[in-house]
Amino acid sequence: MSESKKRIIGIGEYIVDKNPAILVTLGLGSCVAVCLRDKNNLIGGLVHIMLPESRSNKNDQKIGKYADTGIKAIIDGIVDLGGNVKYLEAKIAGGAAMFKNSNNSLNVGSKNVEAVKKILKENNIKIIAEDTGGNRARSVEFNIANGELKVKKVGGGEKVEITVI
Amino acid sequence: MSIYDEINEQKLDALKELGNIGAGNAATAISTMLNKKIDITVPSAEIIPISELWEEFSDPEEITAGAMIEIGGELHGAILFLLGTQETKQILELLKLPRPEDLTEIDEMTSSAIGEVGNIMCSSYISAISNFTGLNIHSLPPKITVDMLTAIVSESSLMVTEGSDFVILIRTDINIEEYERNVKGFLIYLSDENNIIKLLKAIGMGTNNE
Repeated sequence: MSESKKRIIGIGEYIVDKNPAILVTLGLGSCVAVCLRDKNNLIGGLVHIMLPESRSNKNDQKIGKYADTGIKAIIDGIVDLGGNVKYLEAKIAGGAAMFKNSNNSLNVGSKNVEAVKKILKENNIKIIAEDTGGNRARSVEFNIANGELKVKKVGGGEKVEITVI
Repeated sequence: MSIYDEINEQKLDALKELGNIGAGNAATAISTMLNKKIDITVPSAEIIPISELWEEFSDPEEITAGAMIEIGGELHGAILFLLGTQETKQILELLKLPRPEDLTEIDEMTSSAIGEVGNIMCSSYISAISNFTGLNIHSLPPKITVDMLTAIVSESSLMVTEGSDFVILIRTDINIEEYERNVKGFLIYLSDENNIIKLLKAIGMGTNNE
């Protein structure tokens, strides 16, 4: 598994790739990582979205920033690589509220998660695992070979805890 | 064209210079607080696309303490002050506060001490901007968090700008008397495009963007 190439996805960006590949994104606060994978053809994509919808900012060309345009972009990308929408499964992580004393960030995180779920439902894509909410940031690694999503979070003892969903 | 394409070396130098003035004020304030000679320098100021943020730090997942101070008044934005785990402990020790075993589980007292140091650093920068530009601005109370470095930066940027694509990264070196190692920190200026234009105009570096 260590042979797989790791590709890092920046904030508001997305990547689609075939097996073998591990898609990585760092520092998800209220942002959400949406990971889609065609389990039969082993093609997957990850988008690091920042906001629920692009409608409020039409001129913005960074489609990976928004749940609506970002999810569409990875679905299209997977299909372009020969994947099938029918076989897609989703795993999502993020949507935390990092600053405790701020209502604003709480709203963005949960609104992002809500928007992502709504859009996946509209596209008939099932969420098979999620790690969302809370007040800790996350980093994730999505393995296209087996669909494992490794979630890293700051835990006690100044250590980063890793869970696999 | 985005305003960020127009921020050239000269404009970044101006922002760095404001950083130097602010750092000078902050050094004086912290020196008085600690009763030690302190020197703060600003080695660089850069403008960074938020999507490439992770490339800027040697360990983007380092556990970091962050204090964000929002700017109120005629300019909207915020300044974020970041210190790594060891650096935060060094500063707390200098403040004669108990050195926390675990930075991720700090009490109110430690959290507010971190907020206070951040407040001094950021407010000094904000008052430097205010003095220099004549804009009527003030700092709001600090918001504190301890988490992974890039997450703090992107989250703060999102809270303040609602999705701006860039941040201005100002590195700071804090030199403390009797301490061999510099305490390295980051000041990050968060602002949307309109407010950057306003700020640059106020320091006499208007753009053709309007």
